[in-house]
Parts: sequence; structure tokens; C-alpha cells
Amino acid sequence: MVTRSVTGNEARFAWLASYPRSGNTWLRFLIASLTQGGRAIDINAPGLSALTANRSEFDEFFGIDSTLLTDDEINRARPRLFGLIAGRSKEPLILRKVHDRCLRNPDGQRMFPPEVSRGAVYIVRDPRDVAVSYAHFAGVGIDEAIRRMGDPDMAVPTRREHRAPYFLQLFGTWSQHVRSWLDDAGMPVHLVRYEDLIADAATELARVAGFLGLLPGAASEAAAAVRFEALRAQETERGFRELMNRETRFFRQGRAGAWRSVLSAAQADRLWKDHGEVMTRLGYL
Amino acid sequence: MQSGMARSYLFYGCRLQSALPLSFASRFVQSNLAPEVVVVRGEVARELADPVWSSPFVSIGGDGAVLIQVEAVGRFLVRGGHTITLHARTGATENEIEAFLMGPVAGVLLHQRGVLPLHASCVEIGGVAIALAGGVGRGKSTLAAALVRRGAALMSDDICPVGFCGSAAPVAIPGSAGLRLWPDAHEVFASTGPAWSPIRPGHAKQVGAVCRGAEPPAPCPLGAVIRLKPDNPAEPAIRRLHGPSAVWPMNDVVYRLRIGRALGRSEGLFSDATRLADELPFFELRRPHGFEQLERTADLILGAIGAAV
Repeated sequence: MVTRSVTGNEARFAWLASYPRSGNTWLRFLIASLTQGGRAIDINAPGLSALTANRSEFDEFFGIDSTLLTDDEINRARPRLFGLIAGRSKEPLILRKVHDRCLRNPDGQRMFPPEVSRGAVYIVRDPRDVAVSYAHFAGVGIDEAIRRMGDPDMAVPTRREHRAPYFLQLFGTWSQHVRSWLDDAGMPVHLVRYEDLIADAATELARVAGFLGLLPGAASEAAAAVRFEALRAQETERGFRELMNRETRFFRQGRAGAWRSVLSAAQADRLWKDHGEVMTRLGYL
Repeated sequence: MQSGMARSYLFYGCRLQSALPLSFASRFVQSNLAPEVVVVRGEVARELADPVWSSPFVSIGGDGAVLIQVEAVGRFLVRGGHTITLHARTGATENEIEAFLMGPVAGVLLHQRGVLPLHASCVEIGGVAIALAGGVGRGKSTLAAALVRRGAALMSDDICPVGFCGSAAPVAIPGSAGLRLWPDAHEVFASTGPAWSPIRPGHAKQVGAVCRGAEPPAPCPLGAVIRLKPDNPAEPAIRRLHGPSAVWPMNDVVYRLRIGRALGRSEGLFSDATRLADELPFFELRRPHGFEQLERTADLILGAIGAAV
């Protein structure tokens, strides 16, 4: 990976954090393309799906079967995992996708330790569009999606869902999620709005590159190579291995403001009632 | 909980005498033979002196002793490939202790004994063992359950020891008869097997003794290794692997490769794995998430094995 500067061994993690359905995967592919000189990205290539909640690193580095552990036992140990990974990795920047809110474990330690972190890129999207996208993705009605976005205990996978490869991911409410990362991460956080990414991916990507210490030279090429439509076409042709539910698709519309023709007034009001404060702060009026 | 009588079992190919009753290992009745491994209860310190490798759950001492510990369950000290000292936490259930014995503890023991532990669930069908290998969450147990439904016998869940005896064909050795499934897979197979219970109190994962007939499985020639790839294609697909790629990356094939290496087994594991690839067909299986195409996937496996073995 090409970087402008290599900081110490300790602070090499960068977290790509977001509530689900907010553009995290797209930005991850944009960054992957940027670091490869603006090349097209195979969405199913190995090595691109470094979800923090993946069990395999935990099991490998700790030498234990996480599937035998409880969620609390796992969460108590997880902060130590990242130090081990950094110690064994030669990558100057270790990028990880995160859907958890920025939380502390049962011992009060930060789950994403600032001491190993260069920072976090937080991707936020209008919660009204998130609700529409999430409803399609999860195969639930929009009211249920809205309910989940307001549920402080919201986590995936639910008890009945497929949880074999992943840890429990704790989202909390959409507002809690945003606040946890923007106000209480204990590390530098760079905010990216999904709507800005749609409007001008190259500029947003160059800013992200600056924040992460990556060379931004290929930002325009990357933005062209990783257009939403290109990802969508790949998914149509060959599927997407990160998609758990085959009934739906991962790259669906990639639009901003689609909620206006989908949500009822009552549904939009409910989201405003639940999240108005944070929506106002982020300009989602 | 404290049961005085030690019982004899076949434990991953070893005669085991255990102070703890085991549900998922078969009983061993020829009690005139000395045990090769013992599980005894005793005090185990929280830390090893001068560990050469450690994580929050596992420490390896300079003498090759391995300490496995989970706060709510207890501590297991595994020494010399023959002695497991169990220091159970008050209140830990026999089932959850067994879950660690028939898993991480067994894996360490096999590394100490110089036995190759494949990270695989293994079934026997038509006198030939098929190892379904891959890292955590790939569906090893689910596919084993699907093949059991088609008449295969479960030989081991998650860890499959392989025996090499001179120039004879490599042999798969029975391990745990308890198949562990997450709730979504458990729902599909709930009617299989006599009874299912959570692997630990309140844990979502279920374990059930999946057996065919009254006879416990015996070692049998390993016919093929099927590597489960992390993928989600529309249709399941299987292909033969050739050359070094068959066993690469090795941490996907060997159970707890890092621990094996820390125990000085780097070269041994490499030569065992490459010998396996020389002598047996290896396949790569890609399958869709979910259970809709499980039967088709089982067909593909059985077809590929039938043609190759």
C-alpha cells in the first residue's frame, strides 16, 4: 500500500465505521482502488472484506475457538487483538470495516483502542434513505427498519440469523451510533457524508486519503473505476460474497433522497422524532 | 459435579482416562491397557512461568506445556501430550468443560503428540473418510450434518486427526461425536440426532451426538479433503486442487497452526500436510450462504468423491 508517511507501529489501524447501508463498502472499494493506482476492483477479491467482526483473526491470533466463548468473553478480549495484529503485520496502514457503534467492553475498555488507531473515517447517510435501503437489505418492512433504527439494543446477527463467521455487532440506535463515533471515539474522526460521496466521489476520496496519510493522486481514476453502477454490474453478473441473504442485492440504487418517493409522511415524522437532533446537526433537514 | 470414578474413553485416537465424564467421546472397555492420556483434577496456576507465546486464553511455556483458560469455565494445563490437569471454576458445568476438552484442549494435545490435526469435520461414507476443512464459520459442521442425512457417519466435528503409518494410506481418526451448530443450521437439522443442548448455559450454539447405529466410528482411510472457501456464489461449485495450492494457506487446513508452530511442529506439520496432498485428492468447494442448496452441495461432494476415490 502506498502511503505518504508511515507512523509508528502502534497507531496503524484506521476504522471505516458506519451504520449499515451507509456507503461503507463503497468507500472501502474506492480506497482499495486508490491504493492500487485507480484500478478497477473485483468486489469478490479476497482481502477486501476485512470486517472487524470476523471471527477468523480472533481465533487465529488468540489460539482459541471464539464459537465456544460468550459475547462478553469475546468483547473483553477483543481490544487486545488489534495490538497483536499490528505487531505481526507489516502493512503501514491496517484498514478495518466496522458496523459496531464505538463502544466499550464490559470492563470499560474501548473496543477500538485509540492507542493503536490512526483514526476513524465515519460515513453517515440520511437516516431516511438508510431506512429504505435497510428495509430492502434485511427483507423487512420500512416500519420495522425504522423501529430497529430507534432500538438501543439493536444488534446483528439476531439470535436466529446466520452468525457463524461473525461476532455480534452492536449498533444501538442510529443517533447513538453517530454520536458514539463523532463525539466519543477518543481518536481523530473524519466525517464523510454519503450524499457528498455520490455528488463528488473523487474530492471526498482525496480528503479521506489526506486524513489516512495515503497518496491522493489516483482519486479521480479510483472514483471513475469504482462507480456505483460498476459495482452493481459486477454483483448482477457474479454475485457478492459479503451478501448473506440471496433474496436481495447489496448494491441496489446508490441514490440520495430516494426516501422522498418511498416513505410516508408518518414514517418520515417518526424518524425525525427519533433522530431529529442528530439529523439537524448533520444537515439532514 | 465431582465424580470420583475415572472413566476410559477413546479420545482423538488416544486411550484416555478421565475424571470428568464425557458425552461425545466413545467409551473404551479394554481397561487392561494403560491410558495414553489422563484428565485429572487439580490446582492450575493462572500463569505459566516464562511463556514463549501467550494470548488472553492460551499460554505456551518453554517446556511445551500449554495453559488454556476461560474465566467462567476454568483452566486446563496440557503437558507432554499425556496429562491434562483440569482446574474447573466453581459452577462450571460438565458440558461446557467438555466443550473445551473436545476442542482447543484436544487440538493442543494432538500438536504435542506430533499428530496432524486437520481443521475439519469428518464423515465416513462407504468405508472412506471425507474431511470438510476450513476456518471458523465456513460451514464444516453444517455440511457434515447434510452428509450424515445422506447416510454418512460422523467421525469428528471441527478437528480431524490424521494418522500416518509407514507407507499405508493416511487414516482419519475419530474425534468428537458432538456436532455443533448455530441456531439457523440447528433448525434445519433439529430432527437429526437424539438430543441437542446449548454448548454452554445460555449459549446460542447447540451440540448434539450425531451417530449412525450403536457402534462407535473406527479409524478409516482418508479418501479426500474438501476445502470450504469463503464465498457466496449463486450455485455451489467444486474443483480439484493440484500442487502446493492444495494445502495453502496452511492455517486454513491445520487446526491452530500458530500453536503447533510455537510447539516446534512447523516442519512436521508442513511435511504431513504436503504428504497428504501428495496422496489424496484435495478439492475446493464454494457454496452459497444459507441452506436452500445444501442437498445440491451434498450431491456435488458425493459425485466428486465417487469419481476421484
